[in-house]
Amino acid sequence: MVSLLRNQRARNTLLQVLYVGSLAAMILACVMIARQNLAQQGITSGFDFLFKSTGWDVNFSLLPATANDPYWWFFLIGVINTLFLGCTGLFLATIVGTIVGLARTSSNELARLLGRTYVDIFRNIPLILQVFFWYAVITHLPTPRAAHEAFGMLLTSRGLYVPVPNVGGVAFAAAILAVIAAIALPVWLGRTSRLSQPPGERRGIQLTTAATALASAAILLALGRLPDLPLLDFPALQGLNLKGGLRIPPEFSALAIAIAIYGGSYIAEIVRGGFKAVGKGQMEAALSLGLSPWRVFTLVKLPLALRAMLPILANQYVWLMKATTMGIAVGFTDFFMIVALTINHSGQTLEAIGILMAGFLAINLSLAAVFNRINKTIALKGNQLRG
Amino acid sequence: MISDNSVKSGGPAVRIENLDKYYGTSHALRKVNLSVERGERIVVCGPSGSGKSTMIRCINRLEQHNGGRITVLGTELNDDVGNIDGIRREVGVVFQHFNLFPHMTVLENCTIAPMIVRKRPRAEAEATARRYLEKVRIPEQAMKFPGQLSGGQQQRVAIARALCMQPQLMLFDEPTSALDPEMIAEVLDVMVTLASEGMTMICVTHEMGFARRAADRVIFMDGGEIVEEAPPEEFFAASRNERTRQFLSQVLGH
Ligand SMILES: Nc1ncnc2c1ncn2[C@@H]1O[C@H](COP(=O)(O)OP(=O)(O)OP(=O)(O)O)[C@@H](O)[C@H]1O
Ligand SMILES: [Mg+2]
Repeated sequence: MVSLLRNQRARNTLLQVLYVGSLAAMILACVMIARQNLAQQGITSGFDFLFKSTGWDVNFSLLPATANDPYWWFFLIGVINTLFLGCTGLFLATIVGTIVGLARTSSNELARLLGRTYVDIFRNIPLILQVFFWYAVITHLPTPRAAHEAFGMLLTSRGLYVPVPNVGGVAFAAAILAVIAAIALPVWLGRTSRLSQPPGERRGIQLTTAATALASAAILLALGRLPDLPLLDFPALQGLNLKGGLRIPPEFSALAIAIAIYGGSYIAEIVRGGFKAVGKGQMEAALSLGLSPWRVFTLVKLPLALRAMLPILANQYVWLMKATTMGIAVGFTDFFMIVALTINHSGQTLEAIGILMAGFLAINLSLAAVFNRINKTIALKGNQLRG
Repeated sequence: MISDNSVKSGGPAVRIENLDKYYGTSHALRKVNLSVERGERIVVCGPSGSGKSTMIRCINRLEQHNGGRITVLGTELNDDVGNIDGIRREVGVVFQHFNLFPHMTVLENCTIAPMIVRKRPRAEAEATARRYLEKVRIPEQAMKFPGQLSGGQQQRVAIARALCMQPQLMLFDEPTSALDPEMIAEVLDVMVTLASEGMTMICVTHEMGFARRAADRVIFMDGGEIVEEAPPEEFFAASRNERTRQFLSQVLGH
């Protein structure tokens, strides 16, 4: 027995068991106590409520939603709204961050100054204030009758109205996948058979792949087209209101802009750090081989900078994903707000919060897992000497 | 277009006339004159801060000179980007800290520039790369990454990488001073072989053994000037210059 306790492996296992055991006991106790308290108040615990209809509506949904739909459907809508907002915000923040970050590392003094000012300002104003600011700006846009119009989109105080295709859901989703493939496949081909053919031939193969994927997207759209309707459903004024198209509510736009601008200021610093981490020596070596400055950038500087950036960028993305919960401040029906409404209407506080936490955990752990995977595959091999 | 004038035969490999270089207000090179014939092997030495690296780096425009003329392989180095590209293509550089691309394999390090700059097909570029890796005695490391090699091996890859561009002139800036003593010999051996095959070389190094074995001429720099230049026997045996003698007694360790 004594010798077993001295064994390092056995000791570690024992500690693990004790730790997990006490954690489980604590959770169990909490649940039992909560159940008892709830029962005394006449609230039945459990997840039956998920299948009851909500009786209330959401102001924005990418899926069809009515007050008769059950709670689980609303949770799904909330998760999709959060993901939609998160992805839009992260995408825009990455673009803003890249531009500002490159400006900060540029040799142009004015660009550096502008970049620094941007970062100093937007990093130091709390996100929630920026959300309110953009919300106020957007809700002071003109009314539907005096809408700003561009590319068939209408910008009004009630939101941004964008045209949507009159195409069946499945066909539309498949077409989107085909378009993504049209971008991703040529890039992937360029990597795997990297430079195996002379540049001219390679370009040809990539172009054919892209064209094929785009053509199949067009065919999918044509096949899935709803009968007797124009291909695109344009928003238009009818009476005092706008009909048709998809309405992106001001809440969503305000949040997406705020996340893009606030997140962009953090990402700019990460981008700057990444580029600064690339050794000058590698770039001089590449120049000495006769590679053009553009090739030096794409073949040496960018790949090395990305490797330095990605781990920190992953943290930032997870962080910004959680920041979407600001939606509740302006009334955007994201996952968090759906949970809050559920609690109000059904009283199933513990269950709803449990679902909220599990949902965010799942989203963020998946995000982190994807980034870990990327980091592992591109990590530099061996010991690095900083030149 | 550029390769036409850069392959100009005849005339010296490098001609430096009245070269001046300032870093801000500090005067790093003062009216330097140097002419290097094709096939000649030059060793440059001198105390720290004397301008050796600066001179080497001016020859392929890693530094821009402020006065005088530099003509490399018949092409003058000026603001013409075409000239700069043409010269960089024909001049190989080996740095003190190797500066390999850590995200590419040894083979990729050696093939990337020939494929892109010289437009060689992959198979041909790889065959050339393997030949040069053989020459620097590390053919078996081709698929490894730089971080997985010893310093001496990395420096030999760096030499192979430069040779794969089939340059007409090689510049070395203290190629062995970041290496442990037991690895210095393996790199110097490669350099001696290269010298014996008639490569035009300008080497900044304090390895006086290498200078004795391989150099046609030794150049001593101090304070941004070329103080003395002589064939190695003469340079080591009978240097007239006080500063040179002082420097030699330090590097030779007596
Ligand atoms: N990037 C730079 N900016 C400012 N001054 C520089 C820079 N590079 C070199 N110098 C200065 O120019 C002078 C010559 O430097 P250089 O690096 O050419 O010397 P070196 O002979 O190669 O010395 P070492 O043996 O230490 O490598 C030194 O006074 C140095 O401080
Ligand atoms: Mg130096």
